Amino acid sequence: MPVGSKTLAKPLLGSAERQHEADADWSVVQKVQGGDVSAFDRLILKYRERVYGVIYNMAANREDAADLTQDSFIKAFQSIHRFQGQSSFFTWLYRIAVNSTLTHLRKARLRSFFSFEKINEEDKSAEVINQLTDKRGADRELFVKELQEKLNEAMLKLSIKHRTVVTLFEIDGLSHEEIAEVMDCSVGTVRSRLHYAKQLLQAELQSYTQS
Amino acid sequence: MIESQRPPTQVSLEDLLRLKRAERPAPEFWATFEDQLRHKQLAAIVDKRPWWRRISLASLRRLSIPMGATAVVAFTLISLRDHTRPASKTELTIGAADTSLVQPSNASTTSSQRGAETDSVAPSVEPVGLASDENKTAPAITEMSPSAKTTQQIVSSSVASDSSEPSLAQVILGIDGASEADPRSQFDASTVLVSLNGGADRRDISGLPSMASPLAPVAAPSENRRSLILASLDSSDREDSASSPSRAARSRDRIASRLTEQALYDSISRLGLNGDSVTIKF
Repeated sequence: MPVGSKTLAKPLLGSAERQHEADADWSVVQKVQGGDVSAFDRLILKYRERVYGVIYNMAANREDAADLTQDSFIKAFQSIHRFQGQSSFFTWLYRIAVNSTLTHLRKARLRSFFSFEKINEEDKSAEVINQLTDKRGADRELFVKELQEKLNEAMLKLSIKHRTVVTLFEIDGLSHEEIAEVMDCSVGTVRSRLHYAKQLLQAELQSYTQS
Repeated sequence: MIESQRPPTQVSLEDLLRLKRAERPAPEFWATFEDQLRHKQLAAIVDKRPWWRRISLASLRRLSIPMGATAVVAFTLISLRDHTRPASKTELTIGAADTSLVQPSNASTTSSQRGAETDSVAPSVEPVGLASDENKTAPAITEMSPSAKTTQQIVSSSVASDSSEPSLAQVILGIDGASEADPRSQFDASTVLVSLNGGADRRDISGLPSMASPLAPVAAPSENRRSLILASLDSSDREDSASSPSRAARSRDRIASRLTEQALYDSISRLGLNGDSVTIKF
């Protein structure tokens, strides 16, 4: 089989759309590996928001998240010649980002400086905020800010690994198998961590969910 | 299905978590982000990565077992070398002493003989070295000690070969020869020792077996003590023997008989304590 027509050995995405996406990424990666450095910009543009979102929800700090996202892309660029296409590019990129963030969080465990992005109120999020605001009868802006702080506090009470699983599954929408590959653990471990993390979050946020 | 059954006012945990998905940076953030990333990317290209960053974890994992085995072997070798170092130092010292003693007498011997001598001397080298030192300070004691006997053997073997120049061994033998030729010098230490043991040691000295055991040249402390006393006695006897040989012989025999271990034991056993009384046997 020629290298150019090589498909991913272990497709994890499941759907045909994701498989197509992974194959497209693989072709871009091959261009970068062949010396077309500018082709890597396409991968940056495609994944920067998702990577930033994962790191931001893990680190709860927008400045750190920006730095870590940039570092993750640079690491991926420096190591792209070692990418063999055995997994999808975005799984490989996520693994770099998650590992960088975990290393950063372990180093800055005692630091408690948080900075949040603003919630974009559109569609579903706006609907949820409206429901909660109507019930509480509070000022909308103040309530959104308070809710954001409570959410982040609850997330930060989780361990780093539990937080990562929740972020990847609930916020970023990855499957259990993809999370297992990103975190280099079994699917059962992912499910177990997810169950435990949601129990803790439920206990922390029950004033919002039961109101 | 579940969401449709739920009352519209109830907010689930998933809904709350989706709010976090809506936390997104403003569009101008990405412009700054791209500039910073470009700078970092250029810096990463320009800056040469250190060599330890270029080593991949996979290659380290492949090398982990050989590296561990090498470390174990190196540690073992180092610990073994440290363990055996004092012995090697002793051997070096011995070799030096051996060479200083044997080399002059081996001027005419063949290399094979020299090697054989070195091999035979090596186990009892340290006493030989000590004997050479004693030669300088107390020649009489050296002749008395068993290590000196070893020296005498080496010397006699070297003298047996045709040597034209006088060696250290010949010098030592010359002392013995002079003592045999000169009747005045019959009161040397070896003669004293012979007379002490009833003349039995004269045969031993003449036909001394080779030094097979390394502990053989080591003298007992009591013998050393006795040798020291006898050596000092010998020097005084040499002076006295010029005037009256019979007197010197008598005094020598007297002292030597007192110095025997049996006599000492007997003199001690004569004294005894029995309760409040002291008993003395005559």
